[in-house]
Amino acid sequence: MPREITYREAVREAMIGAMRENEEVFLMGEDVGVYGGAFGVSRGMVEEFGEDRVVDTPISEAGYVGLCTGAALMGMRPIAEIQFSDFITHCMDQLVNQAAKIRYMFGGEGTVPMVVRTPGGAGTGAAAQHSQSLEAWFVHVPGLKVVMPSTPYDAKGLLLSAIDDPNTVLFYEHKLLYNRKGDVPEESYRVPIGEARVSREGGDVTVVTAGLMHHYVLEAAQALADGGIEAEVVDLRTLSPMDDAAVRRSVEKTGKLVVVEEDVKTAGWGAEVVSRIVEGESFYALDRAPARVAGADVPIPYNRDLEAHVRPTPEKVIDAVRSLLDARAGVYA
Amino acid sequence: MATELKVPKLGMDMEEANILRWLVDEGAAVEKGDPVIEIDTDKVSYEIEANADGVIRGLRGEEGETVPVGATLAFIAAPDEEFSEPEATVDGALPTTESTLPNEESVPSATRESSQLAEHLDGRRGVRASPAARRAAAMRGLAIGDVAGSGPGGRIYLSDVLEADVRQRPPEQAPAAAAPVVEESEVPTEPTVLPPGEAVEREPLSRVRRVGAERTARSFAEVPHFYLTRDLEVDRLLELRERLKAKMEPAPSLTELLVLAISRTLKDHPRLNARYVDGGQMEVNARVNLGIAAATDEGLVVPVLQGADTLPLRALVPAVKDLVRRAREGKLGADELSGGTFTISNLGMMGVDSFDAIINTPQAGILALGRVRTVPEWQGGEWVPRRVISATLSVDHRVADGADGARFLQDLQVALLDWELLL
Repeated sequence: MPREITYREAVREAMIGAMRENEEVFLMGEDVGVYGGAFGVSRGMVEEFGEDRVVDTPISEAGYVGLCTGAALMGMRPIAEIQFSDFITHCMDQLVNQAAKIRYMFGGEGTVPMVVRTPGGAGTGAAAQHSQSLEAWFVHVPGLKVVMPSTPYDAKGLLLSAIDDPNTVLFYEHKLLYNRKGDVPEESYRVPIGEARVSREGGDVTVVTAGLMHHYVLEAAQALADGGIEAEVVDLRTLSPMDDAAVRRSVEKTGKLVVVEEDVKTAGWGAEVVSRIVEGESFYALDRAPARVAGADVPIPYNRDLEAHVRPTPEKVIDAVRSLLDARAGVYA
Repeated sequence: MATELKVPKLGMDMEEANILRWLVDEGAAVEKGDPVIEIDTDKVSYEIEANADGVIRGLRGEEGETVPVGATLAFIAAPDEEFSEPEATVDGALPTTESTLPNEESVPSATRESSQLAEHLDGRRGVRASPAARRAAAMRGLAIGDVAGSGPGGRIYLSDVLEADVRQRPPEQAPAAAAPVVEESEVPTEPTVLPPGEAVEREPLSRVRRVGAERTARSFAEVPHFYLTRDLEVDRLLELRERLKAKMEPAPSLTELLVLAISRTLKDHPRLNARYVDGGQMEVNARVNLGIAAATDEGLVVPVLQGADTLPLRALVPAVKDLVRRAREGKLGADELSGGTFTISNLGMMGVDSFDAIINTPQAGILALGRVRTVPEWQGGEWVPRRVISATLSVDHRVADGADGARFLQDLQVALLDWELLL
């Protein structure tokens, strides 16, 4: 039965559903228990499942992500919550050298079916150490999957798929998504990892995005439509493995590509989207040079005005699309 | 270090220029201010002067070639300066660091590449087309070089290929099966099916005509035109001209008298001396800058008489004559071709009775004038001859309505009958 719930509730519902179905699933992280999580995602869960399955940890990301890696290797289905995705820097060894490699190095004898949930992104005035979008790092590591759902529906469906998945999955939430509402069925369902979704059809330009930016892009697409430009919006939903086939299908139709991502532009995952389109046959579908709208290559400023200045906005998306379609695009002067 | 000589930007919408003629050779000594090269922009020919004293080095771009604004044309070096070319830049780009290194025997390869790149950009050698355009052309058997590009510097987009493809298809009704395929010798790649005994010649449009083609197409597609046609009685105007012939040197033509009357009358009709602004606004121009359509060998040119509403007749007549003459010679400055607020087009001297003109955007109106005709008018129980010209006003319906245009034409008629009202 469809009903509207928030993104936060959708994530919680997926965790509760999985924990009721499967005793091997547990949640571990800082303040996830009595406090209910820094953003309230696990509120009420310790009351139902007890402290053995909703485990508060010390401030020790490397420790408990390592613990979860070991538990997963032994057949459990851990969900680790990293309070702010910036703190993931502490557990890079566990994630990159252990979780991502074990299945490969042991010839499939062991797997690490772990989910690392973490909120990324800026826009909350939380400054440079609590606002980063570092998801591209993990897109770069074979052996890890990276998902970044933008809607409550996808959050629930993708989290359940991530818990099922025999590989380690980084599950990127966004602080500004938690209160967004959307239709979510009460029953259990799965959204497959690695499948993008065309959330708006159009013939003039393809705009590829994920996470919170998807909402900015939809806003921009509406404004562009008022001006007679029909944008096709592709929500990647999963960054790795990347559904470039979906992007290619759209670009074959429109001939124009804009990627909108919140992480910094240099070596961001948007560069990967563009590369995959320009290096294959789909290059010959392009009628304009592709463009990226991304965060500025700077730490996120604490000052609110500066923070707003360095982040992508619907207006920046509109400008990028307009200048791409401008007849004068590519003038040298 | 050598001074770079670039293609200047002469007008707001200037993007590129044709090289008409080099006036100097490689190695020629020049002084600052000497004319170096003659270029041809959208609507004017222009001589570029040397911007330093020295010797011309690294001259690039051939006569007849199209080059973008900001492209390097040549360098002017000191006579004894050991000149190395790779400093060529496109506007906005910094010189490569290599170029500041001493010019040693082995030129670093990066320098050579950057110089080739600059040369490529400047000289526009080779075809520039989007990947999609290239694929579409290949699939249709079109030579990409034969497709006219609509992008900057003639860049070819997919839409250009699709248009070219439609154009090259034989008309449906032609007896295609029986018709022989005629190969054009100059364009070897594109077979054209033609009726027997006929042939086409393809030639590139002049810059003026290409710009005109784009602008008129856009105006006709985007601006909602409507047309008001009426006869204007000109007996009094013709008498006035006869009188002034004896008194003024140079003598005013009918067009010049009409320019004066129209400019003065427009002042009272701000909606026709305005422009539509996207988002539901209009801008009314305080002055009347009257565009006067002039036919030239290169195509239609519209020189603008700035402040036409304030010029006394004695100043207006020579100013119009001068503008039209220089328009025909292609010698107008960019500022004399822009800023118009209303346009008139007179084809009367070519025997046309009346016609509908396309609005010269972003202006709100254009007045098309026909020849002087003598028509009978039933007056006081008898037919009397009247001399009239047909005037057709094209109006942008977003800023003015039929009644606005009709009132303007009525006031113009009153002024032509009673010339003193304009004083």
